[in-house]
Amino acid sequence: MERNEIKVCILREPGTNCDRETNYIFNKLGADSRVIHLNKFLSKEERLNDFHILVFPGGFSNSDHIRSGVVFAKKLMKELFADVEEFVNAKKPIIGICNGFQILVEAGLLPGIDGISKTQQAALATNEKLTFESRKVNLINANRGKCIFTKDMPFDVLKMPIAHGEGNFKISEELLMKLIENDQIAFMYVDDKGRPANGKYPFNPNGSVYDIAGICNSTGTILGMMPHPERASDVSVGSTSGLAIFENAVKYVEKGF
Amino acid sequence: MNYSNEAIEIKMLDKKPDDLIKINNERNLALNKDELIEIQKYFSKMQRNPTDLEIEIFNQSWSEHCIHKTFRHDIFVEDGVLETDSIKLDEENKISNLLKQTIVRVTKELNHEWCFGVFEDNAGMVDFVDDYVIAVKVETHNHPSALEPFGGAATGVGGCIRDILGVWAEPFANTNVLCFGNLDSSYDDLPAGTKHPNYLFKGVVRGIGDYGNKMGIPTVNGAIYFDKSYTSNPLVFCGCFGLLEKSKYVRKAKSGDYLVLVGGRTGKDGIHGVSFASADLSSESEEINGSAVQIGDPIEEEKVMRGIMEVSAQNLGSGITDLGGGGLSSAVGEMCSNYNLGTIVDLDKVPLKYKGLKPWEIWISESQERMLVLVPKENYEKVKQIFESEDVEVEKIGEFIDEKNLILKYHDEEITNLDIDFLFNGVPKTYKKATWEKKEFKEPLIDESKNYNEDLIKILSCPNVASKEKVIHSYDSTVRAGTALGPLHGEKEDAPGDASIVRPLLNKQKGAVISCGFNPEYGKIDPYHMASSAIDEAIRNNTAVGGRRIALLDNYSWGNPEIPENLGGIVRASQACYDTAIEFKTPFISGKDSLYNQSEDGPICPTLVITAIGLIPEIDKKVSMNFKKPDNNIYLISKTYNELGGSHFYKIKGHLGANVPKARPKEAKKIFDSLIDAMDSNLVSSCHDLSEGGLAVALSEMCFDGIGAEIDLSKVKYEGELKDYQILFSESNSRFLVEVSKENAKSFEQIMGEHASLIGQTKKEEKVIIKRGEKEENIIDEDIDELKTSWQEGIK
Repeated sequence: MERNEIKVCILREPGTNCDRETNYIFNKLGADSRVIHLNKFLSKEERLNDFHILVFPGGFSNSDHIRSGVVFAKKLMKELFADVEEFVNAKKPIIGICNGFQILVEAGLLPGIDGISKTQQAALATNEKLTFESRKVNLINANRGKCIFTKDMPFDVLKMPIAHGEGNFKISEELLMKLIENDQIAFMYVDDKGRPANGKYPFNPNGSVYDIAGICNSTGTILGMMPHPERASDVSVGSTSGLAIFENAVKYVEKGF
Repeated sequence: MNYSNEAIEIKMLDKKPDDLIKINNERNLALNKDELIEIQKYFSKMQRNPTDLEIEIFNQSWSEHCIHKTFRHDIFVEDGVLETDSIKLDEENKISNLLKQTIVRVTKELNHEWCFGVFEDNAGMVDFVDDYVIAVKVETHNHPSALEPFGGAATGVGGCIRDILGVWAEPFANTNVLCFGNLDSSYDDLPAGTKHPNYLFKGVVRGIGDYGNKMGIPTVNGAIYFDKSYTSNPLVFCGCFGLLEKSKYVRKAKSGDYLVLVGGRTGKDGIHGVSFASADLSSESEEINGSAVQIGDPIEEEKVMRGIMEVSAQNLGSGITDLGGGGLSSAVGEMCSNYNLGTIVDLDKVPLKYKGLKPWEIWISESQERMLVLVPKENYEKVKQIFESEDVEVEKIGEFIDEKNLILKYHDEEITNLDIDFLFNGVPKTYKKATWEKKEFKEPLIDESKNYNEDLIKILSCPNVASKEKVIHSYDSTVRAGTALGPLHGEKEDAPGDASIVRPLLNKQKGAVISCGFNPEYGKIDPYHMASSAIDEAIRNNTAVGGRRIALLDNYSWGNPEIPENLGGIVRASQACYDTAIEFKTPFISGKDSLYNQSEDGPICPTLVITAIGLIPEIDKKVSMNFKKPDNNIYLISKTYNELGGSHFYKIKGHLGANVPKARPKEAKKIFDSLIDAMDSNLVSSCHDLSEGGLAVALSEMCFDGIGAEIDLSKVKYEGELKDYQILFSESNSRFLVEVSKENAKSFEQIMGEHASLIGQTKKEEKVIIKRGEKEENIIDEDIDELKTSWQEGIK
C-alpha cells in the first residue's frame, strides 16, 4: 500500500489532549491522519474499518472519572464492539499512549493474551507516590521481535517524557509470567546507565511491576505504553527516541499484512 | 429578605446618603457614597427606582476589579513620591491617569510595529512568525485562593485560559507565580480565619496542576515565594500564552447578531466575586464571601476550546469574549460598549445548574467555563452544531440592537433598562492620595569570615531559593510536544532554568521564550527599585536562554490603595516601569492589578510580577544553564556593586539592609544585545542569570548537573571596595555567568568587550571552589552533592 493511502484515526473523547501532536507525526511521516471524535463513530458518520491504524492518544478522557480511561473504554466496547473486533482480527495496528494505554487495558484489548478479554486482566493503578509525575524517563526496548512497533529499534537507552497520575502497571503473577513468555513486554524503565530500574524511584516513576512501561498483545499488533513517544520524535524538543514506533506502524501497513 | 425569584424594586430615590450606604452594606455591595449618589441621580432623571438587578449591574461595572479606578482616576501626589522627573504633575500636583502616564506610555512612545494588540482586548498580542501572533494574559486569583486553595487556583488557571480563547487564540503554554506565608509558621501565630500556608501551598499547587494538565496545556514557567506578609493573603498569578492567525482575529459584531452563551451552566457560585476582590480580606471573609469562590471543570473548558477553535476555523463568529469577573454582566456590557451597540437579553434563556436563582444572581454569577460568542444570525445553526458535536451546551440569549441600551427581560417582563454610555462612563472619579516617606534603612555590620560554605548552604536551602522540583514535576510541561526548553535543565532534569522555550507551531524553528521576574524582598525597601529590578530580571532571564524582541506584562498585587503610603508605593513602582522599560525598549502589552491585598495583619509586601515574552529565531540555538564540559572558561557578565539590601545573604543573617539593587537599563540593554550576538554565533555553552543569592548561588546551580567549577573573586569586576561576602552574595542586576569553550573564548571576548570578566574554569572534579587572589584558603570549597542536597531539601 502506498504510504499516503494509509488512513490513521486519532480517536478522541472530551478531555483527550495529545491528539494534535500525535496526528502531526503521522502526517509528517506521509500517512493520511485525522483526529476524530468518538461521537462521529457512534453516529455512524465514520466507520472504524475504513482506517488502517487506530490511535488512542493521551489526555484525561472524561476527566478520568471513576477510573482513568474506563468511560471511553466502556462506550467504545458497548457501542462498537463488532467494529473493534474486526479491526483487531485483521491485525491492523492499534496504539494507546498514556490515557490510551489505560483505555486499552480497561477495554480488555490489552494484555490481550488470548484475544479480546471480556474482563479486565491488568490495571494502571495510582502511582506509588500518589502524585502526578511529569518527567523524562529512561526506557529500553524489551521486546524480542513480536511487537511490530518496536521492530529494529535500537537497544540503547531511550528517553521519553511521562506525564500521568495512574501509570502503575499491575497484573497477577501468573499473567505476568505469560507476558514474559509470550514476548509481550514492549518497554521497561531503566536507570540513567541503562540498568534495570528495579522499582527504584524516580527511574521507575510509578511503581509498575517488573518495571513495565509498555506491553503489546499476543499478536504484537496492539501496543500500550505510558511514556509519550509523540513528545520524543523531534531532536529540537530533546529526543527522537519515539519516532520509530510511529514509523514502524506505518511501514507495517505499507508492506501489507 | 425576598424569597421570590422575581426582581424587586430598590427604593432609593428619596433616600439620604447614609441610607444609601445602608442599602449598599445590606446587599454586600462595594459601591462608595459618591457612586451611590450618582446612581440615585440617574434614576431620579428616569423617574423610577432601580431594580435589585440594576443596582447589582452598577456594583459590578464600577468595581475596582473591572475598571481599575486606582490606575485610571486622579491621584494627588505629595512631595517625595516621585523618584525621577519622568512623570509631569499638573498644577494641582495630580496624576490624572497613572496607567497612561507610565505603563501604556512606554508602548506608545516605542511604537513597535510588531505590537499587534495592546491593552484593549482580553489579551496582549505580538507578532510571531508569518501571519501568526502570540496572545498573552496574566491574571491574579488571590482572594479565592485564600479561602479555597484548590478551587481558587484551578479557576485562576481556567479564567486566564478563557482570556486567550477570548481573542480567538489557541492556548499553548501556562505560567504561574505563587506567594505564600512561611511554611514553618506556627498555628498559634495565624490570624483568625487564616489557613496554614502549607495547606494553601499544597492546595494551590494541586489546583494549578489539575486544571492545566487536564486542559492539555503545558505549564512551563513559574516561581514560588514565601514571606510572612502573604500569610493571610496568598498570591496566585496565572498566565496563559496562545497562538492565532491575524486573519482569525475577528471583531465585527453588528446590530442583529446573536449573543450566544456556550459552555457550563450558571449557578450560584462566584456571586460577588468582583466586589470580593475589591475589598480587604477579614476573618469573616469565608462566611460572607464563601459563594464568591467558583468551582472548576477543566474538561468542560477543553470542550469549549475545541468548539471555539472550529467556529474560528470556519469564520462563523463576529466577536467573542470570556465570562470571568462579573459574569454575564461584565461580558455583555463590555461587548455593547466595544461595538457601540445595545442589546436585549432574555434571562430565561440562560441554562441554569438548578432552579432558585434570582435574576440578578443569573446576571452576575461567575460560574466557570462559559464563553460569549457573537454570531451573525445566518451562522447560528452551524455554530450550534459545532458546539453540540463537542457535547457543549449552546444557547442564544439575546441579540444586539442599535439603540445603546442594556435591556434585560425575565418572565416576559423588562427588569433592566440602562443607558450603556452612563454605565461605562458615568462612574464618578475617585480622588486618592499618594505619599512616600523615605524610611531610614541601615546596612548591617557583618563579621567577615574565612569560609562561607555554611552561608551558601543556608541560602541554597532557603525556601525561596531551594529547588521547586517536586512542584514542577507535578505539572505536565511537555504536552503538545512543543517544549524545547522546560523549567528544569540538565540530563537529570533537576537544575533550575531561567526561562522556557516553547514552539507553538511544530513545523517551525521559531520559538516563544517565556520568563518572569519579581522580588518582593526589595519592595520592602523601595517599590521603585523592586519594580525596575523585576523588569531587569524578567528580561535577563529571557536573554539567558536566547530570547530577544521582548514584550512585558505587569501584574500588581498590593495593599489597600486608599492608604496613601500604599498608593505612594504603586506610583513609585509604575514610574520605575516607565523609566526602566523605555530604556530596554520593551513595550508593555497587557497588565492587571489586584489591590486590597490587605488583611487585619496589614498589607502584603508590594509585589510586581513582570512576565516577559521573547522570541528565538531557531530553537536549536537555545542555551541551557547547566555546565556542559570540564575545562571551559567561566565569564561573569556586567559589574557587581555593593547591593545586598533585600538580599538572601542578609535575610539568613536576620537583616534587610539598605542598598537595594538598582537597574542600569541603558547599559544593560547593550550588554544583553551583545550576549545574544554571542549566542547566535554559537559561542555560548551555558548561561545562567544571577539573582537571589548572587554569584555563589548561580555558580552552584550551574554545577548541579555534575560538572565542577573553580573561580577567583579577584577577577570579578566590581565598583568600590568589596568584601568577600559582598562579591559572593550581592544581588546586583544585569549579571550572568557564561560558559565558553577555550576555542570560542577569543571570539566571545571580542563580542562582549569589557563587560565579560574571565573568572575561572569548569572542572571535572565535582566541587565548587571559590578563592580570592593569592589568599591561601578557599572561601568556598564544597562538594556539589552536598550543595545540591541542601538545595533539594529546602522545601520539606
